[in-house]
Amino acid sequence: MNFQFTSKIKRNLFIIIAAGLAMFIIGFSTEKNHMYSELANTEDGTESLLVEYYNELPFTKEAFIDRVKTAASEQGITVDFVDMTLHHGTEVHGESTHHDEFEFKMLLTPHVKETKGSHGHDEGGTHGVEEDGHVEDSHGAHGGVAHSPMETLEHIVHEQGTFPDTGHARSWSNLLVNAFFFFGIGLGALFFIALQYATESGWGVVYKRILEAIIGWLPVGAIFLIFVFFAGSMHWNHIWHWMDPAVMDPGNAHFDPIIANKQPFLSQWFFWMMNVIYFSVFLLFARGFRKRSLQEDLEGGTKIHMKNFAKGAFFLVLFGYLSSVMSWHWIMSIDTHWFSTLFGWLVFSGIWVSATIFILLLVFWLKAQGYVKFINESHIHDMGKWMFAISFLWTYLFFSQFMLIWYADIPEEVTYYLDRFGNYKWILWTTVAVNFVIPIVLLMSREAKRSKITILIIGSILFVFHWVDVFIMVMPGSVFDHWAIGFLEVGMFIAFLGMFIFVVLRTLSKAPLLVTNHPYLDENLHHDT
Amino acid sequence: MSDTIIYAMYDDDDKLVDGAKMLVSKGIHVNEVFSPMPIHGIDDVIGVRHTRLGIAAFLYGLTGLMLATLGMKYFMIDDWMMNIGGKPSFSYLENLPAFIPITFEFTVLCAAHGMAITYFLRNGTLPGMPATNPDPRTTDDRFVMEIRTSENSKYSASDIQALVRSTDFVELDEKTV
Repeated sequence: MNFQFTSKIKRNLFIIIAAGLAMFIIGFSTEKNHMYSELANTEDGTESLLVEYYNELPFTKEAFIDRVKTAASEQGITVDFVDMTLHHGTEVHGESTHHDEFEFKMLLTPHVKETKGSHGHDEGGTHGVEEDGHVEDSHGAHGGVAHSPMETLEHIVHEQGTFPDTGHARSWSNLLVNAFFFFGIGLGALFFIALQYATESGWGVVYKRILEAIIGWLPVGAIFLIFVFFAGSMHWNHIWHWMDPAVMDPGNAHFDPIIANKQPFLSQWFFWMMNVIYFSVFLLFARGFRKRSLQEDLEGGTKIHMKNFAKGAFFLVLFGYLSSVMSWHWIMSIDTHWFSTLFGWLVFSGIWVSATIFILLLVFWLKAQGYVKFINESHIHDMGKWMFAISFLWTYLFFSQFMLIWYADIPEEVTYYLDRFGNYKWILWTTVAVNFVIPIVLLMSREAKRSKITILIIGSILFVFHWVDVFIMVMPGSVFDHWAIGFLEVGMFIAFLGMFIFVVLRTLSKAPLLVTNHPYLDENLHHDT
Repeated sequence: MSDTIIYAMYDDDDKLVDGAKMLVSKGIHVNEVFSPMPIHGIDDVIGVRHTRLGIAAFLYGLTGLMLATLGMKYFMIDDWMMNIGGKPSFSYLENLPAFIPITFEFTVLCAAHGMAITYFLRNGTLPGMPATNPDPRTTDDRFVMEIRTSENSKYSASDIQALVRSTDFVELDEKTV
């Protein structure tokens, strides 16, 4: 029996996609960017605020200084400004990239305004703080003030330094998050089907067509990913820091020796050459598995089964290497200075568990529509075991990576977690807690893995939080501290989910829901655990 | 009180399962099945109660978790303060990541050993324990079903024998205790 992709389902999916797009457009048009500020201690022990921005600002430096001064004096604070912008007098070629032209780097030091007889505070210009303007000292004198001058200044800088984001960093990064997350589900399904071929598994034959349908997303997902990568190479987005040629050029003021040492791996030609390999291997194997699966329905015999066995094993070998290197290139290189050899497995376990969850959710939906009656409780139970087990693989790998980095405390490694603990702390720990505690507590028992309600609720939660996991991998290195989960993120996720389900269901409707000539089909239909 | 035990031997697990199904459908309670390997689905057929080994395993694991935590707290923090990876904060919580692998391993160790020992004890199969299976061939290629008249008051021993004879058995034995 075929799945009927009725116009009603299509209409509902279009409504979902349209709703997601509408939310996204609201988010896109109100996207804000702001200058980055962080506390800095100067040599003489003064606390200052380092304000940085490395792209074209919609206002001039002078206008910004004026506005901060005005706002600060209303709060009873004067501010010293020190321009820290690099001057490129030493540059070899005497030419600067577009980044240098737009560089903004200033040190702001707040002082509480003298209320009784001002004695020569130089407003702006000097940065010597030999007078009584120390932040700590003056704080006690003005006991009624709710915030310290530094906090007030931070607030003012945030307010005055926020402007509409014409570079749309959040949209680009989200496009990468969603493109990768859903491509990952397709990839997880492809890995899973190859694993079943290579191990000649009997239990999963009833899932074959569903897996193939999910794999059907790969070509579409690849287009989105290639688009983001291409945009990165064209400098339309700035997700990948290393794609900026300035960091690789020893003559440039922005030369970064750590990144430059990685040039063989992080270079445009190698990146694109590997992309060709990743996509061609994944897509060709996906196409081959699907083709032979349909052929097997017509021909029967064991010839195709044995061929799938060999191809599946070969794919697993390739996938083992490619999935790791792929995640280094696509995701890990966003945090360019940082590296972790375990990262590929963490990404892989994430995509595998997402794929498993999606399979289960899809099966329950199909069952509610009256399809796939041949998938019995034992099949569901087995897939539930995978969902349970891979959740722990993910937790295990997350913890392994975290603990070693925490333990060794080497600067080049801890940066990754410092970024995440700074601005992403609650979302990171919520994700880890949800993805670990919920499965271990609620999915442990046999009954829970067979229960529709349990699987639906836990599956939906885990699905969302594995998306958040990808979000936390991408965002800290690409949009830094100005992340949010708002209309933009939710809308794009919903739109992608709608498109993904549309493509999956369309692929599903093109072939019968149950294979006919698989050698283990009969065994599988009587599967009982 | 005399009890007659009937042993029905089969040379194939499927034949035994079919026979058991037939007997159970007649209302006979099959006490036990002896087999060289696990027979898939036999538990449900003869109505074996669900094992409580899982609960035991959880308790053993919990014991291991607590022992490991208390032990490491005492060894590493209280008794002899250790500098853990350059983080000498002398606090169990702040150094928690360092303790998790050992907690995990010890939990698994206690759960696994506790489970194995409980299993052997409960089955009477610890090394040196006397064998309780009715026929040594059930450790090789024979399958034996045990039916007790004391558990089947509706039937006499000869009734049960007659019913067993209608299954695909190879040997039939009776023992009065």
